[in-house]
Amino acid sequence: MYYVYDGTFEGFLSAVTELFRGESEEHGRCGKEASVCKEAEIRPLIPHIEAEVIEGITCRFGEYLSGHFGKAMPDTVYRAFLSELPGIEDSLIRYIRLARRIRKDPIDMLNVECVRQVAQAYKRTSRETHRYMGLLRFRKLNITDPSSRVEIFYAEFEPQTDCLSLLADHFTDRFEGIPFVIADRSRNKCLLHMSGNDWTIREADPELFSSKSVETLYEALWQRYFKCMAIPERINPKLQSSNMPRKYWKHLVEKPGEIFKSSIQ
Amino acid sequence: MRGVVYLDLMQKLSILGEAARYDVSCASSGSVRGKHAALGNGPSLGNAAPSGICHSWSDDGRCISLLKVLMTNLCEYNCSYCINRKDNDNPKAAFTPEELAALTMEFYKRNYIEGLFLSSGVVKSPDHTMGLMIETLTLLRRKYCFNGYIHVKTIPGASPEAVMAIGYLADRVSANIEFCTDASLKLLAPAKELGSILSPMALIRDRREESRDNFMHSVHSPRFVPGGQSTQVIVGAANERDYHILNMSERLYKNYSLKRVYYSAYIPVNTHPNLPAITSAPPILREHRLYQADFLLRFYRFTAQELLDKDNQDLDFEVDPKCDWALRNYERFPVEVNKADYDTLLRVPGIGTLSAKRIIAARRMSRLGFEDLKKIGVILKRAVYFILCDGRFHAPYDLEPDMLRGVLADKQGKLMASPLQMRIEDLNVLRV
Repeated sequence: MYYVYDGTFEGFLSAVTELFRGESEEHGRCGKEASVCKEAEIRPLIPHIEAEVIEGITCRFGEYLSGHFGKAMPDTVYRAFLSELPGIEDSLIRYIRLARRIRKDPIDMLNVECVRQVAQAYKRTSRETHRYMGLLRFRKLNITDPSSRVEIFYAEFEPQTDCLSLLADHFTDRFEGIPFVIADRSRNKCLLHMSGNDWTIREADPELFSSKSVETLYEALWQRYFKCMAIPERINPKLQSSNMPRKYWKHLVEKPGEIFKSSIQ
Repeated sequence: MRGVVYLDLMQKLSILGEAARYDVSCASSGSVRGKHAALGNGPSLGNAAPSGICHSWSDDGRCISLLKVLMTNLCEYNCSYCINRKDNDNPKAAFTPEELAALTMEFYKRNYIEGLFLSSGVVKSPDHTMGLMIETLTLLRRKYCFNGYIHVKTIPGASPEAVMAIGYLADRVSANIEFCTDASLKLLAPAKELGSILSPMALIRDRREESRDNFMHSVHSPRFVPGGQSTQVIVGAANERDYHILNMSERLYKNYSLKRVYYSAYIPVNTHPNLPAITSAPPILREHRLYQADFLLRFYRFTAQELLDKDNQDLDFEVDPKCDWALRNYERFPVEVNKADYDTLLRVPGIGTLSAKRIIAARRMSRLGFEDLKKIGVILKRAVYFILCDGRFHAPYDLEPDMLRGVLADKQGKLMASPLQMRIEDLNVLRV
């Protein structure tokens, strides 16, 4: 049996809550079979129940997890969920079930399949988030209204995990006084920050992607600096792309690998 | 300034960036800068993460985290190994403090960098140079309210007052040792001596401990070099052995509480009778082995004496230092993973700090089988020869240490050891 949820983290937690509730009512008899799935992935012929989003569930579920199994657990669950790896919902349910059985966070039990998958998913999201903290590039937008002296910065990226919300706190803290927009092009949503610690995530306006201003001076300076930093005697494209895989190059200002290319020609 | 014609920002950046690139350190780690660390009066900009953040990787595969530049590449000294020595007639340039501070801010706002790494040639006197650097940092911290990471190289011979002043503005302060013995310093950098490099280190260490004590009482007390000190040793320019270098590192970690010692494979930039020929390749594999040994000192509870001794003064090229130690002490192995304590596990090749901790945690739940080790992250192709799992030895064959050495010869040196083969002429074209 499947509990169907709307694809959001809130929806997922609501579905999991329903599932555990159902299990305890049936004394866990058919519990092992039950799982959750996204609306888009409903398979016909398998019975399913629509899970309603329960208000305030994220907060309550988080308190439940941290209160019973340790402070790190809510974050583990959240980041693993954001990895969007296929089958991660199943692993998460087994992982939480295991925690309930042994009454502690089982994250160290890497010899258990579901724990390993959760740990892997957690690592995947965290790693990508950390990479983008460094690799995101902002450019100053041209503001048509000359009376406002506000500078707005814009960055776009195409992450494999849904890490936008995880980047939010880092960048709002760092650029507190600077209004900025970060657009996740693969999920078509963007993060808006005006000032202070507030931020919102909403669907991206297609116009956002089309209006691109080019900042010549600082981008050129940065490109030149990037080129200067490489020591010719140590050129090592393999090491470069193992530290910074090519999938991250698309939205960079600098041009990695150029020395390598020019030396072949 | 003498000898400097008018240059635009682009030219300055490329001259002073290129002159700074031989400095290895680019870490932005070890310092937490929250709002209370801000020095300016206005709203602050920036922070620092304890883990450090890399912002790019240049074509040589090294990370770029900070805007690493020199204040100026003019220098009074004539150290024979250095690209910026007085007698070299390469183009000279100098930033004004305002120029550099503004550039740092613009780069930072675009998330190109984590902060500034500022070093300099010695112009007029060490204290005059330090004055320029202090001015730049003061502008950044007070005028621009910059609260990101700053790493400064102190100038050898600078007064204690200048070192103190800069320590309250920067996150990390470092002085490069470059050579481990006074003899090689005399030969290659006659204007420097070991004492003049070590004494500011001691000064910074003492004041840092003091400021950390004060910080316990109030978060508003000024912080002195919160990110700690580091240094750099040049490998392969003089004739020191790895034994000297590692012993020096150990002493620096122990006595001066340094965060890091960096090793820099010497790249011949000058011709000099006391230096390797200009065509010789940098000893990159040796540098790699030194870093491996350095990690053993810092995280694996090894001592320099265990790794190298008077009869055995250089690290092995074929296998990494930990494998080498294990093969020389083969009678201590194999160890039972279900029983061995943390320190013993740490010394098994293929088991790192993380997997040792995981083994300890996981075996509380159940006995560990051979398959479980792989899932935990142990590198079995090395570890298998040194462990027992539930009393069983799982290696495909039981070999004498000498034979095993060939089996364990690592491929990991390869990535570092064989950079793209290029002719020297190509390299000169590539110097931007």
